[in-house]
Amino acid sequence: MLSDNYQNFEAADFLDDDYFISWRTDNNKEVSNWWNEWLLKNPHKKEAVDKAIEQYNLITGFKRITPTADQHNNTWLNIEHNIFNAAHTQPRTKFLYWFAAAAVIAITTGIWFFNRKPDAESVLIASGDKNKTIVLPDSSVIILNKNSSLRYTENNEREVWIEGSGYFHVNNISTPGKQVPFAVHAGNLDINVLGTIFSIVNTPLQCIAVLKEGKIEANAFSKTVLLSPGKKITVSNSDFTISNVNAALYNPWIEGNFHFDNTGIDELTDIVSVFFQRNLTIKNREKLKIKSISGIVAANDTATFVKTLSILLNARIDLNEKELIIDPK
Amino acid sequence: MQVQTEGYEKVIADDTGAILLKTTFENLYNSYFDKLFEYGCRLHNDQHLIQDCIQDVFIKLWNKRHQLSNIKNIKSYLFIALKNTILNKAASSTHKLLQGGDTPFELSYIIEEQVSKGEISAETLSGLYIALNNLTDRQKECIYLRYFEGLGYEEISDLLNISTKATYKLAARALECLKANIPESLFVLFFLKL
Repeated sequence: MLSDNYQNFEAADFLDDDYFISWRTDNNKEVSNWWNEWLLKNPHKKEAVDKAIEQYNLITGFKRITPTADQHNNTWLNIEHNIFNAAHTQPRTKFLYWFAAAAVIAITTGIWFFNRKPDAESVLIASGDKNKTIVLPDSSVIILNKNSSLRYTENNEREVWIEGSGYFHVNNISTPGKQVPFAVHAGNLDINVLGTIFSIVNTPLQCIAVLKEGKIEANAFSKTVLLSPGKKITVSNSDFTISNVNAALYNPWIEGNFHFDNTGIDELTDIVSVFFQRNLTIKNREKLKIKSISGIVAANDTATFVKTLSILLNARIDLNEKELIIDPK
Repeated sequence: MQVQTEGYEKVIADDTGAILLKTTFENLYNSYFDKLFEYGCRLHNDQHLIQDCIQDVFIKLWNKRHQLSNIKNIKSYLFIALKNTILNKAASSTHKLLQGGDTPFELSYIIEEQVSKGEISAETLSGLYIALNNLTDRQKECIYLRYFEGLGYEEISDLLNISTKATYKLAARALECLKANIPESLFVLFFLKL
């Protein structure tokens, strides 16, 4: 708090002033700028302020007690272990944190469908019929869509294999001089990241990665591409393409919704192909008056999705195994 | 539910904000661990016990993250929670029992350190250091919280479990005590150096 009475202050008054103390304790630029400016305007007060500073330095010149880096880190590891392990015993089950050990099935034999076999001591985390949030030992967070699985080896948690879909929030870790990479393998796609946020959807037909923040290096078929935010890579069985998308649309399992925001038919076609594995076709295209849609549409349930879409597009929608057919009214 | 606190965008977020919450929670830990550790070690000399107590404080904070909308000042919350945890733990174990109002507070001034920085003789300073070291535990804690941690009188009074008015008096008496022992010439000396 600023006193308007500083003109009458002596050293002892400054020493007992909150704003003076916050100048000495906080590393706040605004506060120190204010004091430096005030001292320039009031040079006759410099003596009193200097005296207060000296007194301040004397009374805070006691012997310090500082923790070691180990004390700092170990205490955090205990906290982390405790809160993420205990989560499943608590009544709040809506959004569980699963620490590796809690829901892990350790499989000792290699599994054939991964493009590169992880080492023998690996952990496999499968989500079952619900989303699962995984906090890796390095604090990276992955929200795994239902019916998906993630695998990593115990000796390197910064290399993971994914089946299905996952939303990755990778912690940037650097040791002196270099950053520690994080690698994701998904079908024909290998991704190297530093610290970043992205989604991966890996289905038998195609594998996509969409970058929300940061930078990732995508490798497929011996080629390497650097992706920036808003870019999507689509990898099929023999080739890959890069396109611009609204990255926020590509992680519907997190909130269970698509937040369509002026989403055009092309992008909608892509969403249907990625998340419902169907081609979007339009009958009588000239009759379709609505060229883009906005709104929140449930993503978890195909029937509700189709129903809402038909209202938004003012069209009849038929769904079969391979196609989602839009028939404008 | 979100709580705004000084410098922390979101300390508490709802379930969908869990990613942010987790990282923010870790930031909170990283910002305060050293301070809590130092304060704790001044209250009790068993560093393992202090680590355990800090751990308990953060686990409790995490478990209560959905009901913390009334935390006004996260810093004083953490300090108070730590002190209470230490008092409880120390009382319930074989550790030296801490008496309610009279918790010891370790704060020692070393003359050598200061002398090496300037040309003032140890002799000139000794009177002052004797005075500093002779402050009561309560005065030391009050000085520490006010001048080193920059807490306000109200927050300090919560930590010392006395009224705000009594805290003002305590701080004033401590400063008075020091002032009596600081030779005026010392300040002239300091001043000339600048």
